Amino acid sequence: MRKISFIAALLLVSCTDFFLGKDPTNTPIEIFDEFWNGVDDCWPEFESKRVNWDSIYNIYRPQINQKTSEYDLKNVLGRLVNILEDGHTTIYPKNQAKIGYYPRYDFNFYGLNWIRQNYLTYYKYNSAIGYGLISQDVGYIYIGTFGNQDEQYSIIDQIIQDFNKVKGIIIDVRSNSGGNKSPRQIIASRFADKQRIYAYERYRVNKQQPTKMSDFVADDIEPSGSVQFKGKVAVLTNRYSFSATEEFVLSMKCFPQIIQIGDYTNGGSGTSPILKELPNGWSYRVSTSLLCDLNRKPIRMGIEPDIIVYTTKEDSLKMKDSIVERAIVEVLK
Amino acid sequence: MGTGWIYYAIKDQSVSSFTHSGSASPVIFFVKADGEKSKNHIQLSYASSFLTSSSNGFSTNGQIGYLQFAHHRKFRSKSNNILFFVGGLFDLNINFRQSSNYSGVSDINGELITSLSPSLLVELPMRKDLLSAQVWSSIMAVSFQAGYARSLPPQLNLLGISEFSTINWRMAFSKSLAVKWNLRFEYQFQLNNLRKFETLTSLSHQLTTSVIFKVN
Repeated sequence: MRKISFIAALLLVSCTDFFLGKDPTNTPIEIFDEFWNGVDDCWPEFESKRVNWDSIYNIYRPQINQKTSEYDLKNVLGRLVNILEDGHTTIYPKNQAKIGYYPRYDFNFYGLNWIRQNYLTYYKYNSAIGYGLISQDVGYIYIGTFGNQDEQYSIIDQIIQDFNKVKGIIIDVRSNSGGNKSPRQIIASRFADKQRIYAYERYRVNKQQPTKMSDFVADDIEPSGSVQFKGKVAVLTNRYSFSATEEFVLSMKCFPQIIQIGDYTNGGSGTSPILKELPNGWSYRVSTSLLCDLNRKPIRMGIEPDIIVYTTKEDSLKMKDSIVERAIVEVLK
Repeated sequence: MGTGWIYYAIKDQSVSSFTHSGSASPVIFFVKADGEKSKNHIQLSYASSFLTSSSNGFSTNGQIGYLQFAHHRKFRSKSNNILFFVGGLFDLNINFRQSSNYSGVSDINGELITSLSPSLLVELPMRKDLLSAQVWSSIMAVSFQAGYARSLPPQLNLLGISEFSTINWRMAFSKSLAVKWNLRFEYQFQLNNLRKFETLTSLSHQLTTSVIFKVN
């Protein structure tokens, strides 16, 4: 019986290999090539970031041979990831820290607890959103992630009802590193006055021409939900507002009553990453879409605030957040 | 209706250079309407399979849905021992795959492919039992899938033979159990090759046992 099972399994595998082709083998060279090819096939920023991926191959591929250690392989792949300067193109070594692009910036944010202690007269929260009143006229909402279940974000209807007497709302997405499309749409739709285009995306059209891109595909947002807030809104950002958060910022900025205050966002112009795998059991993600603002420019430098404000030492010593202070002034204008 | 065992393997070049494979127990429903000169066959099957690759870079849960409508007409034959039928069939394959790695990062892929195929069916009656063999291969198809970039919204694509091809083979043996009851053993091989945007190849071997109740 064991023999029959073995022969059956052997036949299945050889039949599968015959029709589907052999898998790459687990060697440092094939791991390097697999990652290089995976990026080459679909990464959307070769043109906008002026990256010559063939040259990168010619420089780094000779540094890899069949005896390259895992440590050295990680270092070389890490250099490739950093050349792309794309926070969505990341390698996940098994049981180790991921290899990604993590530039350092000033935070311009002291954390939600600090805001809560120094500004809010009351505070309610769930695992995604915290909110409260700064004064009778100004409401404050902190969104820590767009990565939770949609139900967590439906609380926005309750918040807007609680804020029915305020003149303006501050929505703080500083240090929000993103999440999914649906949650950010749920929030933004409650501030929409009508359907509007907020961004454009471009995609690779084939693997042979790395710089050939699709036409601009418009992303739009429209009103949704039981209540809409039509007063003034300030969206607070910092350099750690990334990914889905940047799309949220773009979708909010397209409405006339909403302004962005604080620092530039991270600049995740490469977005919509897909998950791929490497022969040694690691996996990696690669961006497949180029996110552009309403001027059809990739947001690689970050989304520029309408009012640039940084936190200052002087304000912090007075237990004040310079960005929140400016936002209060702006929403009450 | 019946059940059995399916071995399913897929290589989706837009996601991975690795073959992801696994086995599962499919559930099958089918209706056969046989006349003197024609045969109609409707089959619906579903299987959910945990797929892995040799790299173990991520694991995939694959959902495989399949609907087939086939119509065959008897071909003139001098012998009553072997019956030949020719016809056409419509296949609908729905594949949905959710992959996730050990860091909790996940991704969803899938496609819907409908195809039209000429088909040849050969039957060998054996007293009350029946042995049959069938082959078919698609001549045109329509896919509903994301574009070259997987993150694009799905779109409809009309596919010629150069973009979608299949080889299908089915062998079945029907054993009469009682006046209105039959037992059917079936082996089906399916190979699909989709070459729109990126190459996606899948194959399956399916062994099933079904119980058939004759209405008339």
